[in-house]
Amino acid sequence: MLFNSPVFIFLFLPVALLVYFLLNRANLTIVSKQWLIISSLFFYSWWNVLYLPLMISSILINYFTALQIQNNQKRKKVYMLLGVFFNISFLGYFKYMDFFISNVNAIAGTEFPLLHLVLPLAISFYTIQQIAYLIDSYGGLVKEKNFYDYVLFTTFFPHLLAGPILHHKEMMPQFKTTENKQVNYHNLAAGLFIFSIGLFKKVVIADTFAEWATAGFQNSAQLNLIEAWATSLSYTFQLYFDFSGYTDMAIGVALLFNIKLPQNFNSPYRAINVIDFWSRWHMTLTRFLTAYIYEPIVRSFGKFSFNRAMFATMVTMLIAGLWHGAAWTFVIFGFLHGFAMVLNHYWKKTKIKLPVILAWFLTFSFLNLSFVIFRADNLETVTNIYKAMLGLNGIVIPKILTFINTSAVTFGDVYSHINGKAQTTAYIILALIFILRFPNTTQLAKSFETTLYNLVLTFVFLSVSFSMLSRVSEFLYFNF
Amino acid sequence: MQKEELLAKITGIMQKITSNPNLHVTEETRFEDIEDWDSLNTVDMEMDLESTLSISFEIGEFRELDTISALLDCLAQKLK
Repeated sequence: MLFNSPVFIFLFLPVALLVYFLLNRANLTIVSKQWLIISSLFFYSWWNVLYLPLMISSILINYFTALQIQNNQKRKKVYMLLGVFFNISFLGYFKYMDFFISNVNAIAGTEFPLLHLVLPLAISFYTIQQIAYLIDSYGGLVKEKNFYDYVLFTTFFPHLLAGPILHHKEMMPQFKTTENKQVNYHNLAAGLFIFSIGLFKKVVIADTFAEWATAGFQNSAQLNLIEAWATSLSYTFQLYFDFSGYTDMAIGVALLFNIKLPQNFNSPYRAINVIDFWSRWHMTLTRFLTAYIYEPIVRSFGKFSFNRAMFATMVTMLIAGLWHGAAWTFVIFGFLHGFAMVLNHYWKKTKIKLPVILAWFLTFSFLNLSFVIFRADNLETVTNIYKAMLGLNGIVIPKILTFINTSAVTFGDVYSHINGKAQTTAYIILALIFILRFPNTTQLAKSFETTLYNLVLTFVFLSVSFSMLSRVSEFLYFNF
Repeated sequence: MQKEELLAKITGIMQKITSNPNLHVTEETRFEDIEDWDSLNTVDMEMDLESTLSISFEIGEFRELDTISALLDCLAQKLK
């Protein structure tokens, strides 16, 4: 079920919320948890019920493995390693098997048939969240053993499909707190406000840019200079508004239930270097990668050294790239970001500071170029778009500018290959102003008060979004 | 080891890592407030503390500590 679908907004969410608080009012605490779990499983199954048994198996295996780790001091390492191995194999089979087979076929000239498995929704998210839980159980950092709390922590529908990626430590206590079980009107208002911002970002902004980005990537061979830049920038904005819009909705919905989810974005396109970017973009993924991959690699060398840490950075970013999808484009994306981070660390050692505007421009340009690789289905598309961005595919400018008497350009319809209109340029400039000048949702939520102004704002965001709900589209991160 | 002594050790390590001999930290200092502090500095500091104090952090444990005060509490537990 999608957050931006009428069935979720007008039926599922109100019913789930109402019954949850009614059960709690009747002091049926355990039943209320069971209700939230059942609601979450229903929410998940709406997409494809066939993948429900898979997710439940993963949860049960991880829960009982974690129990063994916690209760069996002598063999806890064996259970932890087995558990992590299970999760990696589980994800590997469903997400990477065909990628692996096709590469083996290409290298060895074999013809092993592909499995053509459809990626089970949310598998990348719930798997790594549970890996963290197992490792923390091994480290003695998990104090909770309650079955329903564990299942709820894993399946709670606001975060289930695409994060934020949660840590048990920040969630488990919240499900236990008594005051969280009563209706909190401030949280209801704030949650709805945050949800409305997220819905607007997704339905109005991201889906508008999606149209141009999708057409541009489809017609990559025909793009002129301006179209190619508009395509890459449209995708850069689509990705941010889509994913951060989704996250806002998740945070808003969870807050209706008095549950606070962690921040996932902190105005990432304001970053002034690549290290800064990853501390602001998909922050809960960065947190996971740093704690459970990067640090263990650095520490495995025994003694800290800068060069070994750079090696760990490269490995971590390659894994980060591959986590997004089973394709070489994602590996290249990860490699480029890893390489940029290593350069960034070497640069920091020189203590030379670039002017902030130049640092931002370089960072944003790098991000915009790297997202072309992230989005493209194959390397041919990437080459097409890069060539066009360099002007090698011709330059078309509006007819209104014919007074510029030159043969270097063609005068005509600038945006014809990306279904763009005259407004496309204005939208791109507006989005740029928005990401650079406006406070982000977390900042707005922190200072939220139940004022008439915020009520009107919520109403405007919701009503504009509702009027556009007919063009319901999936979230980009459902594919990862 | 006394809290003041631990704080002095922490300050020394952080000054070395940031190459800033004038860096001043208090219990209230948040790691994110230190200019240019990043994951590299965090893991450097974590490993330095482990070898200096002969302790060990679990995976992910150090990263959860967001202030010097939280770090001091954690170290006090480990040094008991």
